[in-house]
Amino acid sequence: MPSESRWSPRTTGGVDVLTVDPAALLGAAEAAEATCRSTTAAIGDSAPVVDRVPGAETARACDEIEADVGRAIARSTSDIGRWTRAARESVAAYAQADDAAERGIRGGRS
Amino acid sequence: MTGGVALISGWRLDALLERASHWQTVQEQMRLRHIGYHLAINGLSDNWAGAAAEEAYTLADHTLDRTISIVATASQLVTHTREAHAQLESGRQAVLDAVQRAESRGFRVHDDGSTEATAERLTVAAASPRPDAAFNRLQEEAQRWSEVVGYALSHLVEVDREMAEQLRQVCRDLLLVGADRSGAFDPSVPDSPEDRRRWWESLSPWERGDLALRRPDLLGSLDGLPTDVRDKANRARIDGLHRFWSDILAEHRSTLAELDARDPGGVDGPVTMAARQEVLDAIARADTRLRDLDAVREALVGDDRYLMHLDTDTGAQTRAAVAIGNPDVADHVSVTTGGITTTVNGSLVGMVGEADHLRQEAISQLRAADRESERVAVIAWLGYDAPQIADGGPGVVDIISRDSAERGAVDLNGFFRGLDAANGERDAHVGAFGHSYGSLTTSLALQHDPGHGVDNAVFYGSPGVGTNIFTSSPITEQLGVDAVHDMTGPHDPVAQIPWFGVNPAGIPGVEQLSTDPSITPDGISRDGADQHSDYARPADNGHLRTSGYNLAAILADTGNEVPQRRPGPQP
Repeated sequence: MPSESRWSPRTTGGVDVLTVDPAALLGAAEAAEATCRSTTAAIGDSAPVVDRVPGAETARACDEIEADVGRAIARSTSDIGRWTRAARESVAAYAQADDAAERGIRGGRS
Repeated sequence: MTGGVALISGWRLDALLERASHWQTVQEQMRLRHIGYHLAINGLSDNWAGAAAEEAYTLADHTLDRTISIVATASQLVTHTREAHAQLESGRQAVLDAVQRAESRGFRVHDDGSTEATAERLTVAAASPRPDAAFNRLQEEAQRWSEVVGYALSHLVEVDREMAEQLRQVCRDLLLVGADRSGAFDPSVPDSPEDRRRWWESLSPWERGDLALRRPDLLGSLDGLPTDVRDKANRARIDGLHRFWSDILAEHRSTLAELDARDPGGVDGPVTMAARQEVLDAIARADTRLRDLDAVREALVGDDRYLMHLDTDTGAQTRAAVAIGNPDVADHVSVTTGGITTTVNGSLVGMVGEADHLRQEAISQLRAADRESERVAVIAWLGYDAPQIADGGPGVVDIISRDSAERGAVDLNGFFRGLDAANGERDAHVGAFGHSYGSLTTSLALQHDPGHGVDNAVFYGSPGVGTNIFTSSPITEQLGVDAVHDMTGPHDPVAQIPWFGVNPAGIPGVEQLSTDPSITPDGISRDGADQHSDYARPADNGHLRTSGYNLAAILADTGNEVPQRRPGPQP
């Protein structure tokens, strides 16, 4: 399984500040969130099979698998959510860094 | 399946079709999510670069992989669930038909399928001129109906079991790659190979069997477990992984077709050429994984071979390790680590072939020394992302970086320790052989943790092994081994450039072995190793070269190795 990403706003550096377009990043975050929300709502829930096919191993397998599929979808949702949150936090961090840099430049001029 | 005729007659199997329909929705929506997320992050690389951006792209890639794996799995689940519905409905109908026919002939069918004549039939039999004969005929007929109903029931049980297993297999494939395992069986595996061996031995046969069934992906990758356990677990996954990557390939091709249909121009619309290229890259990756798996199958053709590692998921490349001979019961073991440009699909079969020659030569030398009872195992290890040179891929910058070797060293060290743990009290004589960039990986692995259990290190065609020659501690102490050897061919360009420190031949304490043509102690005239890839390869005359003979001598610990007589590269 791929290792977890270590991405966080703390990893942003000076290079990023110079190469980021906050509007593009925010737009990506919003689009990702929207697609995640709409697809999650469309999938909905499914009633247990085992209640209507009692005693069948296939029914038990269907319900176990549905739980696994649900967890996999939740993981995908959670990853995209983490991505969008971090993107927004990064934009905020970039803005702060930009402000600080601007203040520094003004301070140097005076 | 549990329950009998009464339970089966009450089944509402349309629940399976509903579930199939639900998974169809999952498939469609997750495909939309995949495309939507793809489009959302598409083009960001033009506007965002740096360390945070790289981490973000990595996370997005993993998420896209997971999402497409759900699409592929849901697709299979739809097919298999519909098939399960058809099969179970047919089996259920066969049971109900048999019951109905028996009842229409005056027999009563119990829940377990056993059958007896009704009171009416018994009354008629009692009133017949020969009641005993009539009772006997009724008894025989009841027995036949019991068999008919019983057969239909047992067939349904078998179908039910098969359908459930098929569905679970699909889900195991899902779990193999990229999906969440939270809530699945947690065996609480210890961290160290030594503890893992003890943990495995502490499990009951049932627990071992359960793990082998449920988590072959886990067992196959656990350093410290018995080699035959890892081998069975890894082999059991090959077909499933092949199906998985075939489905992934098909899904990415579908995505590409959808992207093209949305924006045939690919430049001015919402879908840029970059997005298309990403999908093309994903297609290439899935295709490579399939070729890797084909190579693994080919490498396993032959006697006494063990698939000790298989991972198509974790790294940029597939990772695999194949042994000839079981290292758990061997007296002499070698682990050969490949270098620059090695891949599973391009190199594994060749490396295993070279390992076979090495083993045969080691066995010959042991036989000549009257030590033929000593057993030999050789391992080709491609358990890391060796640097590649490819169009659009990593270039020279990656090759001259230690990063790949440093990451691979941790896993190789764990592999060494796993061999040592699984070999147990036998305490095999272990040689770590590193070719090219693999010599750096091997050296760093030996330096990573001294508990590796390796006795000898041999570097050949080495661009440097990342050791410090200015330290007061000898090289054997730095690597934690008894002896260190080097072989450098006179015209090997890779070994002439000290990319990662001096050539090992220039390090005090490293014994330089010959790569020249020679007549070895067994009287065979052997070719020299001239090119970078010659060292372990047999020559045109079918014999290993002097360098290959030397590797076998180190492996078998015969002391037959031929020393280098000309001066080697200087530090």
